[in-house]
Amino acid sequence: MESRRRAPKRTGQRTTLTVPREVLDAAGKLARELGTTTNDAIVRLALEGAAARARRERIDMLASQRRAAVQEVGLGDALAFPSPEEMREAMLAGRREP
Amino acid sequence: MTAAWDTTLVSRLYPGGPLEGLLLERVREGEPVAITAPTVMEVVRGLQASAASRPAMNATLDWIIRLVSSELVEVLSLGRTAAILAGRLRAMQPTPPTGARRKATRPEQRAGWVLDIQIAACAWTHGRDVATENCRDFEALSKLIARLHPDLPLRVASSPLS
Repeated sequence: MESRRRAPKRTGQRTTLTVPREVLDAAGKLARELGTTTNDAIVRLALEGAAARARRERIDMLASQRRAAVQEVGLGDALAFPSPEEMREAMLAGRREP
Repeated sequence: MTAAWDTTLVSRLYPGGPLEGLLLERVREGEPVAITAPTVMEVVRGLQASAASRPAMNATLDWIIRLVSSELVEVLSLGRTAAILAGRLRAMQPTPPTGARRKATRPEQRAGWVLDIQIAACAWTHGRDVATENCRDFEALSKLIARLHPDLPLRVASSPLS
């Protein structure tokens, strides 16, 4: 007879959830892999999801800050634009060696 | 189908100029001009380098950064699919097939060819044609893409002002 699986003791608030089938399936699979309970596996999946979300939010914030920094340009030193020919020449210089 | 403007066209953008007028018209029509990320890199690099010795270029650098950062143009990213295609194209044709860039040194020709490959790959991946003044090189790239994806050609258009 298989011994009863035990989950690590956690602190926190008890709650009741309606768990979608796909989450329950994933939790069942994880529970079998880890030899733990389905409840514990659901908590592990939730912690993993929360960590992934937090990471995504950090990346989004950093990307947003970086985009803003690149787009923030100062006023040019010049009062007037160079001629169209000079400007074109400068833009095309992007593929030249220094 | 809308075409992505390559560097030869973007380099003709000028405040109040005919190409800027066309660009603004496209915004009003709800179909902003597309520019590829490699073209943005190329023109920003050119202006930034020029501004180092010529401060007047700072104004144009500011202008182009504001333009490409705005919703007046769509910037096509060099994502994973374009990167894969670009790598395959470069392997198929490591050096430019045309002698059109006679003014450039050999390393510059190669750098230019890599940029053109990336521009073509970006445009193709995003479902765009390429509008260019450098039709010969992009026609060559179109043929290379056709070898890999015969049913999904890259069309090359000349300048919208010509």
